[in-house]
Amino acid sequence: MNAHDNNEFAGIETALDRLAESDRAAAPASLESNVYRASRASLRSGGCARVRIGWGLGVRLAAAAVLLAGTIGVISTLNRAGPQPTPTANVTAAAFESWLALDDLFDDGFGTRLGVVSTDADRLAQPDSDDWDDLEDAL
Amino acid sequence: MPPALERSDPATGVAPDDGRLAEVLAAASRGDGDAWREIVDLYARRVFALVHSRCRRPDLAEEVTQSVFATVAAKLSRGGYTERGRFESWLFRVAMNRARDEMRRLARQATPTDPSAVAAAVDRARENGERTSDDGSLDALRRAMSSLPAADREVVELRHHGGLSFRQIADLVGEPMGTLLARHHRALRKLRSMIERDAPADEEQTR
Repeated sequence: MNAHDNNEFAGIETALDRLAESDRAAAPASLESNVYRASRASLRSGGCARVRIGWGLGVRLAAAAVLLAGTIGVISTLNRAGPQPTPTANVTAAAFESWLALDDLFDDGFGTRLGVVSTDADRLAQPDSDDWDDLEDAL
Repeated sequence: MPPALERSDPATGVAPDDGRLAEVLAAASRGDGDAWREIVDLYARRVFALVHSRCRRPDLAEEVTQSVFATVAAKLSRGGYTERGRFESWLFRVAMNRARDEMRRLARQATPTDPSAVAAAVDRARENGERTSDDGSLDALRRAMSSLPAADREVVELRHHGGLSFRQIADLVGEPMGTLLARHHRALRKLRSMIERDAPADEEQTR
């Protein structure tokens, strides 16, 4: 496997070939059979990419579907109840509550962040809030 | 069933005829077990040698080789490889990446060994008349290889352990042919000078 024209490295290249041969010889005699057995299944199963739905995800999806159905049911009931047209605020609140419940379910933290904003808004709405007191003291 | 592939000589790295390799690859990607067996027979030992050169542990080298072929089989089946006469470059790129990852993982888990314990083990082996390696000169060459820069060592290993042509290596590492040949030349020169430098010291020790 001499690579260079001047052949000045013939000795070292021969030594490298011997080294490679010794590394190949370190393999067990059953290497090819073992590798074939280990990889054959990947060849068969590789044809179709499958999405596996785990137990946790399945439960969450089912719960989300139930919540969604419940929300639709509540909205329909409110729309039918009483001669007065359902206030839009009620419908929006019901949808909003369901949304928060879904958000908690998937735990991406948006519900928590929204809760904090809501609490802050409540505090600001109170005239005797400590924050207002602090502000007045500062003034 | 495509015609059987001739075994390439791992030492010379002579690749099988591209047309027939393409046929065998196509058959394997359709799930033909016999075709896949031919691919494994042709390349498993070369991939093993490449990994073993790095880790020096036959069990680990075999594990990595199996994982490389499992990856390649899955990609072939999913159509993740388009045959353009570059199968060997692709296969050895997967192997090289996997070997590199495995060596990083081992380095993270390594615990420092007491040098005196190593020396004692070598002495015991000598007293018992065991050979510490297959060949003293190969030991020196291994030591020299391990002190090469990573990129130079990779080229040497792909060439001699993987049996790839320079064109295939250039394709694999993404370097122009001239740069690659210069790198190989430099690596060989370094190896030779390191071995020559170490040779007198080894002779002193054996006296």
